Amino acid sequence: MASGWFDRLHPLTKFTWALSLALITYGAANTPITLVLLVLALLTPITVAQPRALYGALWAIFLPIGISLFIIQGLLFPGNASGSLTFYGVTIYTEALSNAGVLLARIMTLGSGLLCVILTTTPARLTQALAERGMPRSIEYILLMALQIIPDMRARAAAILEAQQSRGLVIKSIVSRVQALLPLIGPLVVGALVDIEERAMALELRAFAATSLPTRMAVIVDSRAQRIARTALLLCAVLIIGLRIAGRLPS
Amino acid sequence: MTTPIISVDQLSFNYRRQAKPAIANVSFTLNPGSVTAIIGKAEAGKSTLCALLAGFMPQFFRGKTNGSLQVAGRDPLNSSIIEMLPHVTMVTSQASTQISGVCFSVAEEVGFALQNLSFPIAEITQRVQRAMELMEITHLAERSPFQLSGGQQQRLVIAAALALSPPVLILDEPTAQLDPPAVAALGVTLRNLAHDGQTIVVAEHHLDWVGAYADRILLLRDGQLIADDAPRAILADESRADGRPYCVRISHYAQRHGVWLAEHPTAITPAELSAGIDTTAAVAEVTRPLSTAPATSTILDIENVSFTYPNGVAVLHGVNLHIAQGARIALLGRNGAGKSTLLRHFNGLLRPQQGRVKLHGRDIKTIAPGALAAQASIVFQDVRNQLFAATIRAEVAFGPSMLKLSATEVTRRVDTALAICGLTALADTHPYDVPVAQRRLVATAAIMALESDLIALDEPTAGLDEANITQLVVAMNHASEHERAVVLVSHDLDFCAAHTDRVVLIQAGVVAIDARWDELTSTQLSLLQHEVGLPLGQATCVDRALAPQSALARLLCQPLALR
Repeated sequence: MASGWFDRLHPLTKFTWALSLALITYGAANTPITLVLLVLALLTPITVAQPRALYGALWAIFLPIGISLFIIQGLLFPGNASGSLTFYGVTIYTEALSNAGVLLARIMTLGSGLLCVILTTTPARLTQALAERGMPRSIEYILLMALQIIPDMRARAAAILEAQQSRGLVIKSIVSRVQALLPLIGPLVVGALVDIEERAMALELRAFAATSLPTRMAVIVDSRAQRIARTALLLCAVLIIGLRIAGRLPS
Repeated sequence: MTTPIISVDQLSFNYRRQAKPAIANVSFTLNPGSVTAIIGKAEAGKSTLCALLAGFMPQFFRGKTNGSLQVAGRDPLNSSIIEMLPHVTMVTSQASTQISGVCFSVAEEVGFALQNLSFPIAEITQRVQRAMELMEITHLAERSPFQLSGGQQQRLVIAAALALSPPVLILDEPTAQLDPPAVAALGVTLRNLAHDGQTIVVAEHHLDWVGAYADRILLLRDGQLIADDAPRAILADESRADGRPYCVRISHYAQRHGVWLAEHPTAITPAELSAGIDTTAAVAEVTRPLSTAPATSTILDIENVSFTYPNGVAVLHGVNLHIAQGARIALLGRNGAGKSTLLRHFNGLLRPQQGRVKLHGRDIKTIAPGALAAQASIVFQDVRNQLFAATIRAEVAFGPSMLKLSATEVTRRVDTALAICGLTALADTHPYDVPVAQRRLVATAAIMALESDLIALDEPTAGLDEANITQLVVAMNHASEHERAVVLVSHDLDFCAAHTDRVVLIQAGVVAIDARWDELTSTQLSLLQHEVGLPLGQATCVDRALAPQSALARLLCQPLALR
């Protein structure tokens, strides 16, 4: 699979990058800093293997959010005073547009940082990276299982619906939906409970309880430069939040 | 003298709160490098014995144990599973629940135990590759384990056990979800492993497979070891085996009809069956009767149906199929051929993108699936997706009550369905309190109570012993007597050949064969053999180069119900 510069970074470096963007953006609450960080966040996808997919996801997520923000803020922002645009008797205020713009910039900075991490890091790599930093195996299992169980449960729910429809279950009215709860939820819950016991056996048979350090098939490369970068990013976040608390940073 | 690798001495096990022991005073020893089959009816104690050998007690199943047990020089009763794992591992009967849930690909899942046991990467890679090749899942290496079919998941969990390469490998019903070519391949693999020194223990209902690949059989009945002998001594002796392999049945049938070579013993393998047939014997002409009277009207019309899933996978390509009243059809095909997709069109669970599906001449595209239950219904393979009620009676009554029938009619239908599925005495029991095999009959009864004009059964014999299969046949016959059509989707070819009139082969999304069993041509038989294998009668005819329409071929291909 093709891999870009950002894709190859250690998962903790990527995560620290996204975390720092969020901390500084919301900690500083400073518009120029927010705009600088937004530019950085929006430039990050250029360094991934598939930037078009990432920009597509950003567009799909933030366009509706942006439109909603501008409409809601334009109409309801309490500081609205100077009207700038009027459509069919509805006035949009300058203060509202400005506030909506800042809010959107913050959300986009936070969101694009997180999206870059999520779309370039497999859950297995992330949990492996955390496990290598001392996270207990039980937590690793819970994290991975939670990610895996969603498609499994969805497939099982679909299979249960098919099985009950084959027995005459029709879901139309509210009453029929209530009646359908037990035949649909019952097998899902019972199945999940039975699975827990059998899955525990499966894990034992796969030596999950072994106390020795497991062999990792994938090698996650870390470097001194990345460790320094992580520390610097976190220190920068702490510093800016500190300045903000001390009142040395204007809004 | 060889030192036994497994020694069991007067072993008994009582599950907590159970009056009767699941295993009672069982003693035997097994030498290394052997394939031993544990056979017996449902609830005979096969799975319990396997679990004891693998060290599951007391870690997972609480109860009282007596006697002693040694596996590879260790005592499983006083060792944890992790301590036993380098010496013995087990594949349990439900493949889907043996997937760890933490691996994102098949290859990772196969090597997961090796990673946890800190094997070097090079060795893990080599073992994973070998295990995937043995179970023919190399092409699935990058797929998510949760995206596999039941048969593929079964191959995966067996591959994961093979990768560990323990001295003792225990498999509980390993063939339940495999297609016939995979079943045969597994037999050869296990024999090769035994030849290399591994000890294989298999609990299995599939007696023909046991006859072909086991060195020795342990026959359990009510938790007791009734017989410990060579396969022939047990399987060919009707008084000892709890169930008869199809090979033995056909041998006896051939003996009765004078087409068996006297010097040949009763066959317990397909090769012996083929060799024992006397192709020179004079045979009276026989005609295979239909299970029911000729059809009077069509129930289902599938017309030029094509279907593509949202992910772009095209599964059906212009399928035409017509099912008449009282028909009994075996719907066969490889995994992924499109059988399940086609089945879901029968009652509107899936809608064709092209073509039409008609029930009693009416296009069903705008009708909700649930509203079609009186006309067409399906018993799915995984019955856990169906069962939810507090009693078997309530479970069976759910369908009829959905049809808005009168209370009297619901009661009549429930009583009938319980009776034909042999569940009357268990009506007030919780569905999960009966053995797994009987749960399948509960699911079948729940569908039978709908009295649909067309009943489809997906892998109905999986995990059933002979007594339960006999009960299933009673239910199917009852449906036929009432001119209901029955469609079987099954890898159990002998069951299909015995209890259906017509075979429909789906090959890559099209109907490749649609013919009566006794009218299959040589070309069709070759295609069927290539795609899914042949029932024993037909396989013997092909092996002995008998013309499909010859008197001897017709005799050998008679449905077992008539033999």
